[in-house]
Amino acid sequence: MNGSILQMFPMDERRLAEQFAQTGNLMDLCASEDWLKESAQAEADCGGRVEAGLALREYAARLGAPTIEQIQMVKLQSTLFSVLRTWMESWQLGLSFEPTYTEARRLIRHRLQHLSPEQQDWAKRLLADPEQNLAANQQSMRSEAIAMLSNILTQDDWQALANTAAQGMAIGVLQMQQLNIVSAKAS
Amino acid sequence: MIQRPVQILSGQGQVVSGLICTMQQRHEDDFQSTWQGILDVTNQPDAGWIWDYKRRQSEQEGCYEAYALEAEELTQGLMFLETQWHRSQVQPSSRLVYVEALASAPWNRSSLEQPPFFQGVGRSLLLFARQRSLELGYGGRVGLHALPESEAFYQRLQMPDYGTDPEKEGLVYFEYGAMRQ
Repeated sequence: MNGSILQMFPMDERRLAEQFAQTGNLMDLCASEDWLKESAQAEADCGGRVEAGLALREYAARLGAPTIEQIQMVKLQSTLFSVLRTWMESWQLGLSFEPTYTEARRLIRHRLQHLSPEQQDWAKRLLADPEQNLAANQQSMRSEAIAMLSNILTQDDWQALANTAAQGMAIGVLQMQQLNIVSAKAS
Repeated sequence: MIQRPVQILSGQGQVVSGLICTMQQRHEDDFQSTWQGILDVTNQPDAGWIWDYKRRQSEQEGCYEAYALEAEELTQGLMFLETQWHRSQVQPSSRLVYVEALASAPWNRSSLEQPPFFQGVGRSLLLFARQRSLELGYGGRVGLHALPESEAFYQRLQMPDYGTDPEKEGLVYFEYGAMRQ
C-alpha cells in the first residue's frame, strides 16, 4: 500500500466516531461541504472507479465511454422524470404511486426512442440548458413538458397506467390486511 | 423501507440532494435500460441479472439488503449488503456488514465522462454501509472485495487492505474495523 496516499484522504475514523456519538447518524457528515469535496476529490483521483464485488467484474469490464446521444438521453430522462414525479404526485395515487410511477417511467423511456421530429426539436431545446429552462421559465416550460409527456403516451399506455394504479391499490390494501393479521398474532 | 437523505456534488461542484433508499423496481429498470445501455460490447451475456437477482434475494431473505442512491430522479448508485453470515477476517468472532456489490452509474465515472454528473456516490454508499454496521451492533465493521481498477479508491479512503483472496478469484479484500467510540 502507498502510505503517502493513505494519509491524504482517510475515512477519518475519529471524525466518524464523533459524528456517531453526536447524532447517531454517520450520514449527517454529508451535510458538510468539506466532506463532500473530499469525497469528490477521492473519486476524481481514481477516475470515479468505485466498483466492488465479484459479481460486478464482467459489468465493470464492459463499461465504455458513453456517446453524446447516450448522455443526452440520460439528461432528458432525468429532466422529464422530475416533471413526471411532480405531475403524478398531484394525481393523489396513494398506495399506487410507486408502481404507477415505475410503469410510467418504463413507457416514457420506450416512447422516447421514437419521438416525432417536432418532439425531437422540443427535447433539444430543453436539453440546451434544462436547469435554466425549467427554472427561468418554470411554469410554461413545465406545462410544455407535461403536454409532451401526455402526447408521447398512447391510449394503450394510459390504459396500462390505469390498470397498474388499480392493481397497485388492490395489492396495497391486501398488504395492510396481512400486516394487521401479523400484528394481531404478535399481540 | 429505509430512506436516508444524502448530499452529493454535481460535476460542477454544486451541492445536490439525494436519497439512499431500499432498492425498488424502478432502480433495477434504470440499471437495465440506462446503465446497461452504456456497456461497451454488444452481444455479450446480459449483466442485468445481477441486480434483479439481488433485489429479489433482499426481499426474500432477511440477511440481504439492497439499496439505491438516487438523485434528480435517476439511480446514481447501487449497493447490495449481506448482514448475517460474514465475519471479520481480522477478528473472526465478530460479524460485519459485507458489501456484496457496489457500483456508481457510468456517467459518474470521471474516466468515462468529464465532468461526471455526480461525485461522491461511492463514498456515500460506503458510509451508509458503515452506518448499517453500527445500527446492527457490528461496531462499524465493513468488508468488501474491490475490483482491480477500484482498489486505489478504497486505499485512498484508508480502508485496510488484507491482500488478494483466492476464494474471490484473486480480488483484494478490504475491511474497516470497529470504530473506537
